[in-house]
Amino acid sequence: MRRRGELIAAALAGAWRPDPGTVSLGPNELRLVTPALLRTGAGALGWWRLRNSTLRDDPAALELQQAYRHHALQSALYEERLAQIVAALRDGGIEPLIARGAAAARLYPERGLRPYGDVDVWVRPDSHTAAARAVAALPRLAWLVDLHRRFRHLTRDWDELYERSETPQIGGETVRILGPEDHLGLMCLHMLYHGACRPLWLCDIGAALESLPAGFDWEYCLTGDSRHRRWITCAIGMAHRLLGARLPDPVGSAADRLPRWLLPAVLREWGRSKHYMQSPSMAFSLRHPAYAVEALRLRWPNPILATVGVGGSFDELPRLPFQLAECVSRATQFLAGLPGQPRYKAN
Amino acid sequence: MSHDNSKLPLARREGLLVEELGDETLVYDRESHEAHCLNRSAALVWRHCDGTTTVPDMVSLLQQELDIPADESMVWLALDRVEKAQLLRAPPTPARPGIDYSRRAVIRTLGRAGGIALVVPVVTSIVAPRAAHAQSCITRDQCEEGPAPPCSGLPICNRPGDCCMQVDVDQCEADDCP
Repeated sequence: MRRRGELIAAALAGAWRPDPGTVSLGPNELRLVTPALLRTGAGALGWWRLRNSTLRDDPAALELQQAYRHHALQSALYEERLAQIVAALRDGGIEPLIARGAAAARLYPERGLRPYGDVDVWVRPDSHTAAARAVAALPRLAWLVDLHRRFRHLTRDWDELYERSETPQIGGETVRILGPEDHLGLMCLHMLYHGACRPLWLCDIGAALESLPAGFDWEYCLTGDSRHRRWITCAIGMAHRLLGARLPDPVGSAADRLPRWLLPAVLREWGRSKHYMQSPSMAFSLRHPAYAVEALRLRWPNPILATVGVGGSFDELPRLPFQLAECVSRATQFLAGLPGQPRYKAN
Repeated sequence: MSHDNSKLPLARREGLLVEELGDETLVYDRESHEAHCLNRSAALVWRHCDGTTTVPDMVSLLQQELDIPADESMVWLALDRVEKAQLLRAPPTPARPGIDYSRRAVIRTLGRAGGIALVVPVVTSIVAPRAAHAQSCITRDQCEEGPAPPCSGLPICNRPGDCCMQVDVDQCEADDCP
């Protein structure tokens, strides 16, 4: 009997393709994974995958279809708003860079397949204050903007990122997005820093891998720290092994060599009904001890999050030391009263 | 036969976001924040509610475009459904007395044609999926007025360090992030 994580992988395999092929799930299996697909924003992709199958009339499938419709409208609305936000920033002399959500949605056959709940906007650090002011002047849109001043996971400087960026049309506005090499790297690293807790992020990587432009520069994409390079190739390998993404030749062999603990860790994470981003704060849990046990349980870092959290290597060594080190690091931060930014915010 | 144009159905266009999605037409009402899904026949009738197209014209359109034995009852059913969804500016003149445009009557008419379920005019509400937590930040209002605990733990947009957290057994508020 397949576990929930494996079923989610089966439900989403190739889901970013115009014709994702047949889905190998039974009705009971579909009912088991539907809440998780909905909860993690992959409901529309779930419907896309099974819309031509015999499961399409199952009540669980109809919930996924509702998500598909809902996200289609939501994406159309957000594209309009994104265009307005970009126009307002440009009026203030600021050229924003867009990545992840709206930029990743372009990689899918229909924009609603890849929902996003906010617009991640990056501006040069020296423009951040002016950008924050410009965004605050948009009372009906400001809540939607997640304004960043640096790409936490990318080491390149702004000029280089801008130089290699692209300017597609989104929502009727020409929008500047990261170049494909930087965007693939960012999506891989962002997913790992969050412990690969959302299957949608791995679909993004699959979609990106299968829509690489001619002349995609792998050498540039993988330039830099050897540990980062290994992390990126492992993320690519995860998309291949779990979701059937086609491996491009230049990284094929490296991406197919994954540490043994990696895929089980992802499947375990996907099988959980809650992940750390949904847990109560430790400050709250200390005030309400009834929640403390659960808060601590959810905060136990999975091997992926622990490894990247402490800057470790994706090798065959046991992960427990990394997990303990990550816990100590967090506890120290918390006890020092310096929680700072949440780990998963990229500001 | 002449028609009084002021009594012909006229669709609302303002304040709506319309998306074509396969065979369906999705309509989001920016004023009521409601969303609707129109199937092909309902959408066809609604799109032709331009204040000049008569009900018999719409019957012809349905017959031509969907290749079905449509009659006036089908058009009236569609008009009834889109009006209930508040997608008409000018409600249509009431149907002639004696026209039964219930769903059952339309199915009876179409009974001779195949694929009945696909062509009977249907307008359904689109509801947010039970747990479509697709976002990485939410507003403070969404947090505090959202569903009962357990809260999501999502960051509050534009409030660095704040997340939507459970602060009491039945209450969520913006609080320190984990």
